[in-house]
Amino acid sequence: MAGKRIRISSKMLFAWFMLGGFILLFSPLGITGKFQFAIGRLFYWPLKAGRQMPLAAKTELPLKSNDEDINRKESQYQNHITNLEEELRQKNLAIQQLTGLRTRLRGLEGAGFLPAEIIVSSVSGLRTEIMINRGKEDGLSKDMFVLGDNSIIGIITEVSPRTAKVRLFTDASSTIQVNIPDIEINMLMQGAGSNSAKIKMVPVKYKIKTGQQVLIRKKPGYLDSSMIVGQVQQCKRDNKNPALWDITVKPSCDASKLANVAVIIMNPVANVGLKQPQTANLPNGK
Amino acid sequence: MPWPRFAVFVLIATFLQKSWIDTIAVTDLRVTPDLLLIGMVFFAIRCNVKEAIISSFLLGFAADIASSGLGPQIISFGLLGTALSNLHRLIAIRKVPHEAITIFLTGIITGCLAFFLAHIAGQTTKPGGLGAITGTSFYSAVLGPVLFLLLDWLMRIKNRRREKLSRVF
Repeated sequence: MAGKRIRISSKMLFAWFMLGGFILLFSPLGITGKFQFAIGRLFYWPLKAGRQMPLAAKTELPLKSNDEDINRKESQYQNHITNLEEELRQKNLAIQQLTGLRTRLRGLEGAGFLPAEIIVSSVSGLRTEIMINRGKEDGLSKDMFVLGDNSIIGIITEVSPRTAKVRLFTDASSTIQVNIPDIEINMLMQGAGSNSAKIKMVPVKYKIKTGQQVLIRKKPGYLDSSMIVGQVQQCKRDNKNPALWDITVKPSCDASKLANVAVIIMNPVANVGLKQPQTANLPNGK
Repeated sequence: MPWPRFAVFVLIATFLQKSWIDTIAVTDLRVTPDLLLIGMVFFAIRCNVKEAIISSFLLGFAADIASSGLGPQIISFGLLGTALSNLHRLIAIRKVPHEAITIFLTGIITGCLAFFLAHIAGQTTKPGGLGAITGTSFYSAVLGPVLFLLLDWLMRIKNRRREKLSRVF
């Protein structure tokens, strides 16, 4: 009896697998999400090695690599300068209003940066997201902003105890509020994949130039100061409605080359593992 | 069916699909081939029905792990793999153009079904819609017959069948 082989017909086999598939399909997203996080952690090393393959393939001659490093550093400092300029502009506005309200001298004063390593990254195509090795146990929660090369790259969408998923703002399902300096209207930026995003519904009466900075609007509790997110790459009239602009935004940071990011935690409770926002400690992506 | 080799293939294909495949993406939609889809069609037309059912569902599970959300790809891969295996008993798919067309059509139906299932289950659907599905299917159809040669060599399913037949007769 012990050696009797269990025979199962192909129809039964199919039915059981289908049942399993439907159970997984309609399982709560929290459970399936935890399962995927577990897989991500289990296969951390091979996935990381697989991720580094394309990066290694992109590496060219050392001289050119040095040039790229210099350009990247320059881009980081440029982003940092833009953030400081924006803080200064906001400070000036606050003084001009003479409200007498107490405002923060620095937008990110009191905020902590939690450095995180990228475990899994898919930054091409329409779906662009990364998984980082920090989670609920490190104080992360949904909707927190993530920095890469001193610019905002995305927000946290899912958190497990030890990992978190970050949806980049170039993801097709991402929509965030942004503004362009000197243009006092709210704009919505929609991810367009392929390392770009679009701003639509902006009337052509506003003058927008290529290269202008695009800043993410502050979100109390998550981001107390506007920060750079990208630059206007192209600005043309919308094909469907010529009275509106069709603005293409290029991110300030190339997420495909990032190895580390930092999560902004406003008013952190515990300072374990957090870095204070100093220029020298800002994540440089290396 | 050499299951250990199948397991190795699934692991390698999943890792490549999750990481390396972006390097060969084309067009603005960043279309990439679906290695697991190619594998599913290969096992559906090279193995018997029972093996095809098991391999299709397992490849669907791997495809779900490589994307976000569990369930849609398991069902769509399993359903199409089983149907394809049964169809192969009636219409033999042997020539390279036929294999390419099969991969293309299977890719479109699988993609649409997975999109629909993810939508009704409230999961995040694959961005790009029909354009991305068609692009992926086409790219897979172009690459598929080449990978079939590699898989034929790797899995040695044909040789094993010949050996079995020679033992019987």
